[in-house]
Amino acid sequence: MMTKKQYNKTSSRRSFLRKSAMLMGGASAYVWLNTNVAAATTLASNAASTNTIGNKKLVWVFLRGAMDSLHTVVPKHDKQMTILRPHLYNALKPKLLSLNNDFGLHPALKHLHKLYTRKQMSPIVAVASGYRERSHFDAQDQMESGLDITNHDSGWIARALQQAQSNSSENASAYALSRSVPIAMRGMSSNIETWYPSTLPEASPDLLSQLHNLYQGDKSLEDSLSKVIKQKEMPSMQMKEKNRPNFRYLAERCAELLTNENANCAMLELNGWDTHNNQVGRLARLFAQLDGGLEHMQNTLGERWNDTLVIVSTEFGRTAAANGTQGTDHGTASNMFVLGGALPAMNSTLQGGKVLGQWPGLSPEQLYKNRDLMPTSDVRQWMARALSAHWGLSSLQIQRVFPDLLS
Amino acid sequence: MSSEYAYIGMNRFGLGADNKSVNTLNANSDLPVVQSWLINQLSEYKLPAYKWTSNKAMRSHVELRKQRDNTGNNESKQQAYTKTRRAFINEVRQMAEQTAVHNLNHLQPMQARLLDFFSNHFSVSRNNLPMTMLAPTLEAEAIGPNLHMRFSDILVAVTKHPAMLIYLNNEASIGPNSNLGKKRKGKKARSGLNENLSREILELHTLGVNGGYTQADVTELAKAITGWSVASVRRGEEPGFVFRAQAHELGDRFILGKKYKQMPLRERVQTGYLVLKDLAKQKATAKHLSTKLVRHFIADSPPMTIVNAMVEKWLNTDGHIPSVMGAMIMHKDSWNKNQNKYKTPREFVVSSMRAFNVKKSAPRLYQTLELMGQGFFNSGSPAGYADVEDAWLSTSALNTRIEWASHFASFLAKRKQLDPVSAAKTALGPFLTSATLNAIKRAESKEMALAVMLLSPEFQRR
Repeated sequence: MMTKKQYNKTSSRRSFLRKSAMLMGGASAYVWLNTNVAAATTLASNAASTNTIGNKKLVWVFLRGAMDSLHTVVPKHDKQMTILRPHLYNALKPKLLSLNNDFGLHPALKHLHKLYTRKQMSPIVAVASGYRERSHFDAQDQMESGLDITNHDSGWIARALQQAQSNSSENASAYALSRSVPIAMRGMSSNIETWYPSTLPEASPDLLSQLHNLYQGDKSLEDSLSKVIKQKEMPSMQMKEKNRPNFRYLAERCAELLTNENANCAMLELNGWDTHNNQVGRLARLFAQLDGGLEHMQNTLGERWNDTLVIVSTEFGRTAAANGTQGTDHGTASNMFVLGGALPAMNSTLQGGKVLGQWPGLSPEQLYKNRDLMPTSDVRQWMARALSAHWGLSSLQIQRVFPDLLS
Repeated sequence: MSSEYAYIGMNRFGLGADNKSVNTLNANSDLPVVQSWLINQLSEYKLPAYKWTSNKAMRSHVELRKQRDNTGNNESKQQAYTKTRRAFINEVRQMAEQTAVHNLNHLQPMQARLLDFFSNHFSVSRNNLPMTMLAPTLEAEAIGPNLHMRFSDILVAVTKHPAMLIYLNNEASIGPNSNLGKKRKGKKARSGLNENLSREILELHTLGVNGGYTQADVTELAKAITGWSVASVRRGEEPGFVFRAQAHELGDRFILGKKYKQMPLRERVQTGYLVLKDLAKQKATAKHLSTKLVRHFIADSPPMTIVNAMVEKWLNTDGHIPSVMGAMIMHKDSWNKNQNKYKTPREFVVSSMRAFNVKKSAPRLYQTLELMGQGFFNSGSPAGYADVEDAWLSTSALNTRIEWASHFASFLAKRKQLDPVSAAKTALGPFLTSATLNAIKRAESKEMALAVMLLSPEFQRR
């Protein structure tokens, strides 16, 4: 259901988008918006034959801070790289993991590269949301909401789950690994659970059982406490060390929640991508965390990995050129990743082992505003493909999840 | 022993019972006495003397940027920058905590609650360095001093405060047909009309989503407040609000069917004031705000009887806040004995501290609220934090609440004189159930007894 608020906002932003699309790349930029969306919906209706969510797990890893895609999926032979960012490029070039003739992967993404060779991973280049300003926070909210005008009470995962739920007899549910419900999962409170390791000392089991008795007359407290107790009964969910939880820890717990519970979906985050300075070292550390975390998630999932699709995306990209402090500034297009054991079965809807998306080039006239990597497709378009191939959502249902994709 | 009304008064409309308020209300505890105790609180609310101000924030931000730009690759300079930055941020955090702790033992707990309410209604988030430094100054400078006035006074003060102007990007909004706008036409510079603040004023601050305005009203209001900006300390201006007449859109404005004629050049800031004052008087605004207030104080599903009484008072008094709150206090439905409202993390922590006359949380309040998902100025949305049970009773939220309460109880348990049974009786009065009382008495340790009291349904609800 669309509220009046959403409608007003969306319609006004749509006309704005059209205008900006024309401004940014002339007619060609405007065309991809429509043709690619049309392609996505055709594919979606083809895939709608598997009309059940079943055991299909979807994980969204949100990289907050804007990941520099030119430092991730690197156009190995593009001369512009040596002009725009000689230091950053030269530090990487000899160590790149080969993807195809044109692109190489950051050397710290070892596991992702292994998956790529098994057709269980594909990077998608030059993607962006509808957002074209420079604020992390607005861009993140918009990506979580999945709407051209952010609605803080309606997220794309919540809408997707609602649609998946209507196809299935079973309850669809999701986990957010965060302290409160993130925007992406807002809009269907009953099937969303949050989990986050606490840095406080654990409460004694005796206190919990006392409270369990006390809450008998208070249904909502009782329900919530039962879930707390259930989570605690999963041995792996108890914090071993009380340090700040790292990504690997969260990724493992995420997999744990997905295996032990009847959950279809989870969202987790990795922060720190805002690399305005000393990017080479900072990104190497972050990629190692991301790669290691995803590897451990896969290991913990075990056989369920074959039913799992992971989407990794970031709110926007960074400038094509390096700045004066060996970093990059806020830009526009970035890249995303899709991975998982479920990927090979998706065939042409979402191909594994391939660099997806359209490469716009890096020469000055090919850049967005003469500055950033030009977006050639919308992140949501790929999320839509994932939802149709993985959860069997129909084109009409995709429209309800991403109403702004089909204007 | 105080009456149920006294306890409803202290818990539902305040920050909970402590010895001081229990003693005040003890002898005379029938409803009219409790009502006048509350109504008397609705006078001017004195805030603490803060060291940090929005002016200081603006100056310090420029100072920090200068320092950052001069660090280059010099490590000791970088460390010095990080140190200064941390020191500033620590001062800001102290300010946010100071407001909350000041409210703790205040004699006007109801005003303290209203300050929290309006601070969340006009929510700003610390999503970047300037906002981190400015956020807590909004409630202290624009909301607190106007709590005993009309809603329009808060609305105007908030809208022209640097924190709000920067948070919702009005400081750089330029009328396309203003002198500045014409000069910049055709140039590449990113400049023009920004509708963010205007949209949120209509949608969140005044009329509400279904308040009967159109996109045209959003654009017109945005034009009416073009030029409402923030002084540039970097260019030598004194920090604070400035009206940049050169950026103000030319022509008459039409908002909600009313015409606002163009003023003489120097007085054009007035148009914005007039529009805001008119918006504050609208019936839709009265309804939107009264509904939110009843949801905040009484129940997630606000009883319309109370809302209607408040709307009527709003319209008769031009949104005079003490009068509108008076209508809530005097309404019989506000005194329902069911404890319907689940405390937010902040209300829970603050009322726990108040119940035991403690001024410090462990970990410190700033961190505690962050852990519980309701950090100071961190809602990340101009709509602020949710004010309903669903938002705060999630699994991880309840788990953290239990862990915090149990941790807090372990500190309290070290006090030799503290008797859990009498503490529970003071805090909960006639609402203490026999089940909770028995659990407290039977608890294996003092620590457990205190944790049970804090986590009992009757302490978590009001």
